[in-house]
Amino acid sequence: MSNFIFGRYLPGESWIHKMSPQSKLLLCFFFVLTVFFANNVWTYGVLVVVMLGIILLSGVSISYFIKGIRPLIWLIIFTVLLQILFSSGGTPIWNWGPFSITDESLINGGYIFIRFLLIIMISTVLTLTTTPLAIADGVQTILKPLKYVHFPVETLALMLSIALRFVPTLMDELETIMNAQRSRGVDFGSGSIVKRVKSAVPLLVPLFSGAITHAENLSTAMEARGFADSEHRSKYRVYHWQGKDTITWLFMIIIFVIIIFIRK
Amino acid sequence: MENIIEINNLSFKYPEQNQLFDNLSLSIEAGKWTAILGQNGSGKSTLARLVDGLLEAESGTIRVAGLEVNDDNLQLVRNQIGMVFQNPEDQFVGATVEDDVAFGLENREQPRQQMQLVVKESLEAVGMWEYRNRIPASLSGGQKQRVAIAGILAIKPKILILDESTSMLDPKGRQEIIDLVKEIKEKEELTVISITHDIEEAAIADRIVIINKGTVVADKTPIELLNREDFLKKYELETPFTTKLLSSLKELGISVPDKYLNDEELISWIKKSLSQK
Repeated sequence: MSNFIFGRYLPGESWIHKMSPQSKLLLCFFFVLTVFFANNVWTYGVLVVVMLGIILLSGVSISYFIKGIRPLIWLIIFTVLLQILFSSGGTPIWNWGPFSITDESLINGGYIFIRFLLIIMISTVLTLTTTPLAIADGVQTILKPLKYVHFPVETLALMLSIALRFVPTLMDELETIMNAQRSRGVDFGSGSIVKRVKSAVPLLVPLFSGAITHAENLSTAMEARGFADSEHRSKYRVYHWQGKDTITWLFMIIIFVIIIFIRK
Repeated sequence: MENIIEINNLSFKYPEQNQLFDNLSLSIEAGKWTAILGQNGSGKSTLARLVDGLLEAESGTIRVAGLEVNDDNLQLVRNQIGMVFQNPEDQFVGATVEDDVAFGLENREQPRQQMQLVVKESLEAVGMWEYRNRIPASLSGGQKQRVAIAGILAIKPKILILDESTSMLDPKGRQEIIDLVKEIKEKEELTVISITHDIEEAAIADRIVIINKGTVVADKTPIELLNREDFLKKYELETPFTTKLLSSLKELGISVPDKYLNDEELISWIKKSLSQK
């Protein structure tokens, strides 16, 4: 679990760290959208340069991004190989039964590889520079228009922030339960599928009942502290749209327009 | 002194259980430290929840600072009472220390600027301001309870209820929390009600109420109560260390004073009796 970098936050003081979470979230979507518009060497070239610029701006060392890609490397290789081996069209270079490699499939495979890298990297930038709490607040800000169709945005945001807050607590608890059950002779992670599923029961049942106890105590404590409903509340933590956000957006829109013009 | 909490003819039972309180009456004086003792299932915690309006009584009335506890007054009553619960993990609502302290203020729709001032003030009062950006998982049990107390100070209540707040802490954390509450009580002129199993915590109270099976069986000062080992044993309560020492001395044929002494008093009594010889 410790080398799983995706979804981890690294504190910092960079340009990207200081942007507001709602604009970062939207920009992340926008960048992914832009990536899907790219379809030739020039467009991918522009995007790779932009991506490198973003990584420099985030002030996070490149090794973190390499670590972020590592768990997904097999998926990437698998997809790229399928693309290379099974696509038709272009001049064939090599042939063997149903498999064939053409110059075009090689290029397409390369594009897919870059596309994967760009999408993983931009989402890694987002999670490395934004606290989970800020992401939850960003989601709330973005979803605000849904209030007009009576969607309970505040309640969702509160649930999200409580869920995030309890992740480490429940992880610790799971660890304790696992060790307690191990000390009583339960063997996790070996044997047949059926046996493995069965050995999960002594983990899940106490974890669930523990979660219910947590929920009951927490709701009592919240009520005692004057919580009545999630709508009539003020907000302590506020993220304002800043100059940095506007500048970054303008830049990204220019990049998008350029991509549209130089794609084939 | 006026009574800040008045409970009259209270009756309550949980569904599918025996009657817990039947015609209970109790009043708590303002500005005092009251300890409520009793074994598990005696109804101590339930009483605290009834006072805060978290549970609804079957019959009888509860008044908090002149307000009757009912649906209309619920928020007003809760503005007067701050509660610290047993499990430090389960009452931490915010994702960080700062957010947790602000939670009560957000519920009262306080403007943001005001909140920032109050949060800083409250965290400084409990010595946790440097930890403001930490997440709960990175704090010790005692530190989490400090944050819980800061969250209560922020809403400036008149009454602080400690519902077994120190029972999941180590001895050091427990002592720190007790000292902190003592200090805050003096400074803010709070009424403190501590529900506890810890006899040392009860010893510093102004008054001890022992509850057994939903009835008050003793209502005395620590000096009157804590030297009565037999009585404490009858209700399965712990005996303070000093009382145990005195009764051992008594068994050895040494004549001892017939009242509760705290650590310092005991030390000075021993010194005095030794120097007389």
